[in-house]
Amino acid sequence: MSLDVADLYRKHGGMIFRRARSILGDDERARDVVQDVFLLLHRQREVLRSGGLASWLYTTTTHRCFNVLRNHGTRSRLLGEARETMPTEHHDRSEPLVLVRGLLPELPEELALLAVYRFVDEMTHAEIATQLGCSRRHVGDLLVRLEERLVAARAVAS
Amino acid sequence: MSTSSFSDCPSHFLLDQWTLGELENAAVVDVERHIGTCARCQGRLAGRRADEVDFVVDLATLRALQAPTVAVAVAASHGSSSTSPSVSSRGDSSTSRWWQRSRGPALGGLVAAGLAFAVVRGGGDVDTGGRAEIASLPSTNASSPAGVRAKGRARSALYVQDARGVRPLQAGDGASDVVGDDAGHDAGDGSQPARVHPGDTLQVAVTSTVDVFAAVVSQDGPGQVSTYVAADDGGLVRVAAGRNVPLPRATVLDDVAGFETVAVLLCDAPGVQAAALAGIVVGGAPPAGCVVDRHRLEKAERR
Repeated sequence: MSLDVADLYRKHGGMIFRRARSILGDDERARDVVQDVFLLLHRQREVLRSGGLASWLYTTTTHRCFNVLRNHGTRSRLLGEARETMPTEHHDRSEPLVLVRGLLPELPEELALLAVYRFVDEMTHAEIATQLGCSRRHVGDLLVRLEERLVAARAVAS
Repeated sequence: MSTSSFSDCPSHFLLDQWTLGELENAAVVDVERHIGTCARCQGRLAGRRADEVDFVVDLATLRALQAPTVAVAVAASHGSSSTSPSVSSRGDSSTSRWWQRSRGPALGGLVAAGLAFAVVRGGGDVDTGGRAEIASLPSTNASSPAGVRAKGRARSALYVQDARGVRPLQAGDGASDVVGDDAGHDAGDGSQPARVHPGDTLQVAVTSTVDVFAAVVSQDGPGQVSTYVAADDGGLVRVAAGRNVPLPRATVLDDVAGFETVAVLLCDAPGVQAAALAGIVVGGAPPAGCVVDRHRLEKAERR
């Protein structure tokens, strides 16, 4: 199986960009992430012979975004923006995403991954379990913990 | 706030697997059946496409992916506070940043905006091959920003947007040639015309370190000449210095199949009327102080 990374970049760069922007809330850094992801794919293309490109792209993009979020400046900016824009009364699907984005730098790795998969990607429990390599029951437990963090964050914001 | 399931709609992950062709047939049927009957998912897909249009394929990265050990030279935009240095080799890919920051609006955004006022009439246009790359500086004036390779001239590139997103037409997609002050600097390689399809949206972008003036004219197989981009008074439009600066109009291709030549005229100064440029499409010499990029296209039904 041959893998034309450049062709994948042309075809699917937009997909990665969309997702990175959803996680980061920042176009410029999302573009950086896209570049990193595809250059990494270029270097690791051998590992993709077994398939599962979507899963690889999701996992890699998520971790690259987390790296960006760990940057102190980015963290401060995101937290500031999130707190400024956190809705206090209007609850809809966009609210968790805004809230989650602000919380990501503070969450443990596993909860941060869960938050992204749940609120950015809208994955099912089964899909999250597959991505995290754990049981659906554990995903349920993590979601309870995540919800506690989100409730606390909303309380702080309000 | 509840973390219970949003709905029975497929996740973005599943939609991306579907897009990548990774799903089994049965799953494909399920996803497509759901999308066909779910207004929310149709909206989600439209939103995804709109978001993805904002992604501009970075040609330096693309080249790096195609030939990572080959030297890459990237010209920076004049007037940008953070110019990109030329990159002579691939170092640590995770730390190199080749595209410029602090530039104008993303091309993709303008492509999307262009859809709202697209000119669509007979003819399409299309793209160019390898010269869609980030380019050089006009030989006319202006000192080059530090770290920038100051050679060459302003250049045009064509991007096409279809259902999969926006992409530059690559070398091998088509042929292009250059006529003008530095004719022969970057002549086409005689490859096949770029393949485009009815309904595709085309956007011309210009890279230059100084402001230039541009127009885009086209001639289809039967000889019909159309002006795709010109100022309101029929003259040239001013294009600010920068990298891949989009011209202020996109073109949606009609369903007339066949070959077409799109000529992008780039001049040092205004004063030329686009209507007088029909001859340059098919090989005529451009006016003094101008160069012309010709992009040969073939429009065919999508299979």
